[in-house]
This record gives sequence, C-alpha cells and structure tokens, in this order.
Amino acid sequence: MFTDVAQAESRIAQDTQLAMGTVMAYRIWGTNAQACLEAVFGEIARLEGLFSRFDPDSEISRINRSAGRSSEAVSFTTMQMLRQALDICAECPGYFDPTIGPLVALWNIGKGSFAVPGAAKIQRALDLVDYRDLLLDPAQGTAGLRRSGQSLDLGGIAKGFAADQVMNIFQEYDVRSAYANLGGNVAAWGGRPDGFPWQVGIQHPRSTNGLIGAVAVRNGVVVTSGDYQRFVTDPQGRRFHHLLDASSGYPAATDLLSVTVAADSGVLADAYATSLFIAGKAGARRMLREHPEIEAVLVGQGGQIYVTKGLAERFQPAEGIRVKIFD
Amino acid sequence: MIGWLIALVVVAALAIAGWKGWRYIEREHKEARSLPLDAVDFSKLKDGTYTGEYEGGMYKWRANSVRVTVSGGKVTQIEPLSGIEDQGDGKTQMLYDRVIQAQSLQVDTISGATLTANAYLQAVENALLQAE
Repeated sequence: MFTDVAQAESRIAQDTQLAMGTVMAYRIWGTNAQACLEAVFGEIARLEGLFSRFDPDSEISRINRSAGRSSEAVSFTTMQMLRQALDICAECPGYFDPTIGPLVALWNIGKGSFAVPGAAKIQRALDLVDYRDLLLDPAQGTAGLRRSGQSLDLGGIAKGFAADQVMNIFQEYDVRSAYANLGGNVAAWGGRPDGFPWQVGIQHPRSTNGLIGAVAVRNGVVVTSGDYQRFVTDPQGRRFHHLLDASSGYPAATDLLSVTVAADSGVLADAYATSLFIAGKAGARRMLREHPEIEAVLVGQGGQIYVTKGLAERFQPAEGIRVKIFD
Repeated sequence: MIGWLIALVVVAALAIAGWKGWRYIEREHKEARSLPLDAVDFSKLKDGTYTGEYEGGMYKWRANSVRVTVSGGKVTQIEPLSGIEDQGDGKTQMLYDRVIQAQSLQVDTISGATLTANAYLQAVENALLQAE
C-alpha cells in the first residue's frame, strides 16, 4: 500500500510551452500529474484567449476597440481579473494602472524599432491613462473604458493572475508537489517531493547566468520585475526599460535594478513587484510598511541587496552576495 | 614428501586466513562505499558551531569528528577534531574546502530569468518531439 502511494507520488509530468508571449515550464508530481498538466495547458490557452492585446477576438481587445463608445460583455474570469486590478490601483496609486495601454503602445519597448517618443505624444498618451475610467458592472457582467483612445494593458498582472489560476488547478487535482514557471513568475505549490520547500532562484539583474540568491517557498508565488528584462539602448547609450511609470509617462526613473516579491497571491506578487520597482527605494519602503503581508528582495543601483525582515530567514544569498535587512 | 605436505597445509592455512581477512575488510569497504549522505538543505542552516561525529563503520576504523562553523547561513569553516589524519598531501582539507565552495544554490527554478536560449530550445525540442 505504501509502495503504491510512493509510486504514485513519484509520477511526474513536465513540459514547456510558448504562451502569453513568453516561455512557460511546468513540473508536476503525483497520481494525477498528467491530467493536471493537460488542464494547466488548457487554462493558459483560455486565459490567453481572454486577455491578449494581440488577439483581436480577445475580451480585452474588444473592450479596447469599444473605448469611449460602449461596454462589452465579459466572462467571469475577465471580470474577476479586472476587479483585482482595480483593487491594486487603489493600493498602489500612480505605480500600477491597467489603462496604461496607450503609453505601452507609444513606447513599444522590446518590439521592433525604437525611438524616444516626443514629449507632446507622451503627454497625450499619459492623459488617457486613468484607472478610474475603467467601468465595471459585475451585475451585468460588462466592462468598458470611458474615453475613446483609452486601452487596457494587463502586462503587469496577467501572468500573476495566471499563476493563481494554475495553483487552483494544482489544488483541484490534489497535487501535492508542483511548480509552474510562467515567464519568470514562479508558482510553487506544496513543497518539493523530498518534503523541503521549493528553492526559487532569483535572477541577477546584471549577470545573465547569475543568481542573487534563492528564496524557500511553499504554496506561494515569486515574481521579479527589473530593468533588465526588456529594454532598448538608444544611439546615445541611454537605457530605456519596459516598466513605464503611469505618472510620468516615461520608463520609471528608479534607483532599483530589480524587485522580487514573494506572496500568497500571484496577482499581488506581480503587481507589487512592478509597483515597488517603479516606486524606487524610498517609495518601496513606504509601501512595504503599509503592506506587511508583502515580502520582497530588492536590488539597489549599486548592486546592494535588501531583504524584508519576514523573508530574511527564507532567503539564501548566492556566493559573495551581501544582504541588508530592508526596514 | 612430509615436507611437501607441511608446505601445502601452511599455504592452505594462509589462503583461508587471507580469504577470511579479506571478507572482513570487504564488508567494511562495502559499508563505507554505501554510506548514505543525506541531502543537507543548505538554505536552512542556522548560525552557530556544530560538532559532527561518525562512528566509523563496523570496526570503527573511520571514526572521526569535525567542527563546522555556520555564519550568515553558510558553512564558513570545517575543522578536523579527531580521527582525521591528513596524509601530508592536504587532501582532507581540500575535500572540506570543496564542501564550503559547493554549497551553491540548488534551485528548482528561477524567478525573473529572461527568456534564455535554453528555454527556447527546450520548447522547440518539445514541439519537435510531438512532430515526430
């Protein structure tokens, strides 16, 4: 009997896929591993179909096309995500905004040719960014944007939301040990098959093959936002990263290189990793004081690593990396 | 003739003794070879100084003890206390140095990694496997 259980638990299903514009990798242990993996694939495809800005038939594309004219009927899932997005806007004012679409389209960082947009154009796009213009009617199941030209971009939250959905599937399939790496957003479910917590490495923002350390996680999501993930350098050697500041209209002028957030919820981890990065060290300190449930590892401009107190025990720095407590 | 017989008995006795002795050594070797080294979770080390002992197998030939210092969550020093003879070539110390160096991060996956060529290749490979 015990052997049967052991054999079942040693069953593993793993795969990678290209989805949501990135690479996703899964490893799942347990009796239902294969069925669970298939369900995860199905869910990711479904979410991509709902949220993609590049798929004209997605619900987000429909909302964007109807901006300033009408609201669109949306699925429960899309409504759920947009509501969560608005909740976070209220908590991270100025740093996170799902209506950032016009700015993202204008800068177009990491997608083809690049030129710094003119100040007037930036201002025009910036005027369209305002989450209060996202009109949700949960009773009717509709979502719309108040002004013409406004558009949603869920880049700062969609993969985090997907991580939460994937964890729900792990739970549904009674999986005890699994992880999903959704383009660098890691959903760690249960612990490792050997009973230890998952060790999630954190990418070094300036060394492609390097890690700054690893964080031990059970049932949580780890997300890293940094200036190194997507950026362009102009002929003058100036670096423009893809994390746009919804209050200035420019790539965030931050004194951080990257921020990693570990949280129970993928939506929170994703949105806070971006928001704390954009906020910079001082802003991040303020936000983290107000939200003790958020644990983070921050890399300062000089390469100094800061770890929140609650995470210090679970963070193991890489060789030669020195860490300060962030409080 | 008697001389031959005596010689034969002596050789046989030596052979039996040798075989028996070898069996003893062999058991000890076997045990040493199959010593289970349980995975240490290096992420969970608490600062302090710890003494570790190994009772040394069946015949206690390998009994030894060491003192390990953990500071900043990492193994920083391993000192032999007893039962360890450095054979003049520094090999034992080299072994300890390797433990200190090798406590690299054993990570399962990486957060915030940019899309690496490897990941792409893996996906391509998986796609091709399905295409077979």
